Amino acid sequence: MLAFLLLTSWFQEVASAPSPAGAAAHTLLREESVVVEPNGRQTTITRGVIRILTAAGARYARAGVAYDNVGGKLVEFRAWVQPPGGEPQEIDPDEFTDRHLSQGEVHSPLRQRQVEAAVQPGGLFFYQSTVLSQAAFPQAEFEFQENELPVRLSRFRLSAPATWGLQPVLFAASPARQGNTWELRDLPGHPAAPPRLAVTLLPDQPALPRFATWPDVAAWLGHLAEPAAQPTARVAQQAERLVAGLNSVNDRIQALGAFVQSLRYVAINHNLGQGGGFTPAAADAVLSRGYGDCKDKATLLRAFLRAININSWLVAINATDRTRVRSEWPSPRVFNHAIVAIETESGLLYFDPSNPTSTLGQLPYAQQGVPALVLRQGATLAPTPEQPGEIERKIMLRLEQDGRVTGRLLETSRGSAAAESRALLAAGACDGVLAARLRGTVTNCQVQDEFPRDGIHLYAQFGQEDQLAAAGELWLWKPLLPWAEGNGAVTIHETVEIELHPRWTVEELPEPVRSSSFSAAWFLRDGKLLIDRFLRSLPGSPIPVERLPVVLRGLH
Amino acid sequence: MLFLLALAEVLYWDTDVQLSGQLTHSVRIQLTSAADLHSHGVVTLPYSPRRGQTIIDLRAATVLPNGQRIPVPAAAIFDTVTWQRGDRQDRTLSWAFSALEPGAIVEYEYTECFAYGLPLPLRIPLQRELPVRSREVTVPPGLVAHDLRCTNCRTNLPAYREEPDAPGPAVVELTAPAETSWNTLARELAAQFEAELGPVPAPDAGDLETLAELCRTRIQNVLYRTDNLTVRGTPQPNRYPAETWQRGYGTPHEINLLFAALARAAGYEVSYARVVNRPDLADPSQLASELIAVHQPHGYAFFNPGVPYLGPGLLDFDEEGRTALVATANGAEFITLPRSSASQNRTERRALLHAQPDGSVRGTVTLTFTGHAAALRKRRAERLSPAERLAALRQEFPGTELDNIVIENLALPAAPVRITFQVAVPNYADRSPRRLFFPGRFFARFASPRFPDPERTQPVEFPFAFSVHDAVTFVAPSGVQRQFTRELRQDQLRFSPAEYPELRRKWATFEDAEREVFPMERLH
Repeated sequence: MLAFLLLTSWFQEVASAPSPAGAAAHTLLREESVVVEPNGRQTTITRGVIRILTAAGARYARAGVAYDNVGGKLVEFRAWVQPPGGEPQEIDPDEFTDRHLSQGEVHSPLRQRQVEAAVQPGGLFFYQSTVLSQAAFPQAEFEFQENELPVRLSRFRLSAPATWGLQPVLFAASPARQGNTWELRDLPGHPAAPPRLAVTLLPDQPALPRFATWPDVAAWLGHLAEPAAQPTARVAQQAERLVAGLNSVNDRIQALGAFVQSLRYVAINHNLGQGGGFTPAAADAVLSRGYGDCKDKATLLRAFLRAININSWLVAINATDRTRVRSEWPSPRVFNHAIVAIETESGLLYFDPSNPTSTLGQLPYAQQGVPALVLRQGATLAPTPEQPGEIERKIMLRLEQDGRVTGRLLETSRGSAAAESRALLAAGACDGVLAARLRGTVTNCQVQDEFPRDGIHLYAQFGQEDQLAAAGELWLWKPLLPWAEGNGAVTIHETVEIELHPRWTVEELPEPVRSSSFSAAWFLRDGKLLIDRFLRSLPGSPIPVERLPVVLRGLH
Repeated sequence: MLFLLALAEVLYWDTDVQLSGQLTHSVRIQLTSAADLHSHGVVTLPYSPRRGQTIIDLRAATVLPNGQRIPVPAAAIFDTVTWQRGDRQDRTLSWAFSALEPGAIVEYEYTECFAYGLPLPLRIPLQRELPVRSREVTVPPGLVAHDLRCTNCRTNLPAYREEPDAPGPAVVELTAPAETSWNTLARELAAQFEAELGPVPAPDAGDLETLAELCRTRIQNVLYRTDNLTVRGTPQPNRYPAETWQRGYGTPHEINLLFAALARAAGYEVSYARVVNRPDLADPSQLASELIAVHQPHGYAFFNPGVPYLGPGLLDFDEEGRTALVATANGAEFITLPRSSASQNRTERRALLHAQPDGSVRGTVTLTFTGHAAALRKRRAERLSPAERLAALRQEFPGTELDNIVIENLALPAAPVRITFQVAVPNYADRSPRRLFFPGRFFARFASPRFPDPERTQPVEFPFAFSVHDAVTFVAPSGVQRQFTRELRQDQLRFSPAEYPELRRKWATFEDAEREVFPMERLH
């Protein structure tokens, strides 16, 4: 009992704190203490106390800790439950679950141990973990609020050698600070942005990296990446083979890029504590294995380019979270993807060889306009280019007597829109892809892809079952198909030419629609119905779905 | 760039079974297209040490079109603990093949070892995600092999594709040869049943359905958790039906015994029954869920009051249509269990909607579920808190605002589930310059097509017959009303891929939300 009290004196600090009304559960304590040793090793002690307030809040009685089981160690992870009015009971360690944290990798040393407990309303769940890690660089991050629950006390402590410098950066937070302890109290639930602290330590030993500025980060990452990009004789021979007979620089880059794109994406992570997550495999090894992850593929392309005397650099970005990279906090840990910047006469050409459908000079939507760090001397953050895709579409329809529709579609996509079409067509047959879009039966579907050059052309004949809805003597028809919601900026110009069976006469046409990003107009000309619409969508903006019918009159 | 469909094929896939508890697998896959390299260039083999399973002698290699063989080095094969709790682990072996190119072959061989002997009955897959040209399963003397979902299928097996409402892939099931007979087993089961039964006070209720209902409502079922069905803590086992009756709680088995005792006390002749997976194999491992058979003048009536959510005349849906063994002192009798009808498993949805001049609708919705449709709702509710149930219901009606939600009868065993709420749907109507058009099939708006794919490789299997009845009434501000109704009745339970287009058409007609509209003049 004494040992328990000593161990959990931190628990007593908050156990009697009142909870706000209306919450399902209340985080009474969220605390992390990081001790950094002179050799860069870190010990992280995490503690949490959660009070369950309702039956629905029971799901918050859980905790998890991530660790590297090769370069680090999970020293301790214990958890307790205190029922209402009862004594704390430690949860049997055999109830803890340990899982690997693979995100599609063939191998990764990252793991997570987690525990869930059954806690009745009014009960407490609390836990403590200790993790040792050999961090590749001396930085730390702390989220004062990890979920939507209100928080009574959230605290971060940092202990580092006294001679080291320290640069804290705060995001959406103004904690009280005493020495190297930051503390926030009584945080309401559902924060708009989680309050966060990021700290960079500036060691005085040259063996450990110092990230005072973005050029420091670029230099360190570049130092890790550079050796692997040296072209061996085999790499140089392969490069020469791929560019043989090609004269223009653009064609030569394109040929090398297309080859690397065709290699498989396979991620195998080692030595994360020694910067393994940022160190590519040697280009020669990637070439012989025929697979690699993003940094491996980017590095092979760099080695190819170097072999034909074209300069290029690895570029670090975050491909999944546009807000993760913040200029205020220079750090390698905010990046999760590597692409290539190629030196050309017109400037840097960004290219992602891990993306198999983008053509040279085009980035996938998710990588456009995001902060990027080119790994060369003195580089700082700069956004990747924005490259709206383009779609030009022509549709010719005939509305038959029985309400069925026959039609032809011709569509040309360029830029990132072409890459999206290409990805869709790679995943499924042409007629199947279009049938789902057109909600009909597709015959004679043809694809002409100019890859690795830009542009993809689709042609299809299709039929749709009776599309009309009856409204007394009137018939409703929505000849426009909803535009699929795109992932990024795209401009679409679509013309639809419709021939009506003599049974049908037009009773009402929709009124023209016009806004800064969208316009549509309906016309009757020479007995044909014409529709012209234009859309310029931006990333994340919804594309309007048409609920504007043509009203027809037709004999029953 | 040329787009090719993945045309990879398993050239051979051999499994050699050893009675000592080892299965040696040899696989050889021909890769054809660039897409194949990406899809089949990495292999992950799961295994479960907690079940005494290990993998040994793993060898893998790429064979290039020119015949060059590139083995995967042992250092490039990763053994990962994917899940661990205490000493119990699940692991995987994974690796990537090197130097792949279209036309290459990947091959690997490994031996699965079971420390505690072969876990019989053991199902070995015959199909996988690729077509298989040759599939061999070598079974040693001393085991019986039985193909499921195909017969003698060892060559040119089609790829198995996950599709909704489809049965699983073809497998071969290995069992030990029967060492007993069903008659012997039935006599043992009957004797045990008689030993477990005991006297109970005869209730006033006489008919069987009333007795079953009494068992479901008076006795708390410790296995099911919805609301007041829950029994806190770990209850003591009941030794006899009389104890179950007295304590008011019981396991499904104890509740079934109580029902049998009550029925016998009321004058009925009762027997113990079990669903049988494979009547051709007299083995206790083939016995599935239990039932109580009540002798009737022309056969049997079957009851399973141990499942609380079943209404009158219903068995659990995975028992319907299967073979039951009725165990008597004279031996075994095999009976095909009845199926419920589409009328019993009914979903009724009614909406009274007031069409608004701005194109929105507001009104009241009532959902009623009976039979298995209700049982499914009740089972799903077991896993959810009250707040999560409301959230789940809101997810069923995206783009709407739901208020005053009342969910009734989730914890009343055999009663229909009834859900009512107020609904508001902004921008519901289509609009022309002069009119608004309110689509009549309100409920179709909230569901994706059940069968979107124009073709199908696997048969469709519905677990039970069911029907859906919708009635939607629109009321204009002027007081004009119009009702739209639709109905889907699914009596046939199995459809072959050839019958699929007809099934798809039937569902598409039902689901098409835009076919009928309620027009209203726009106000200007």
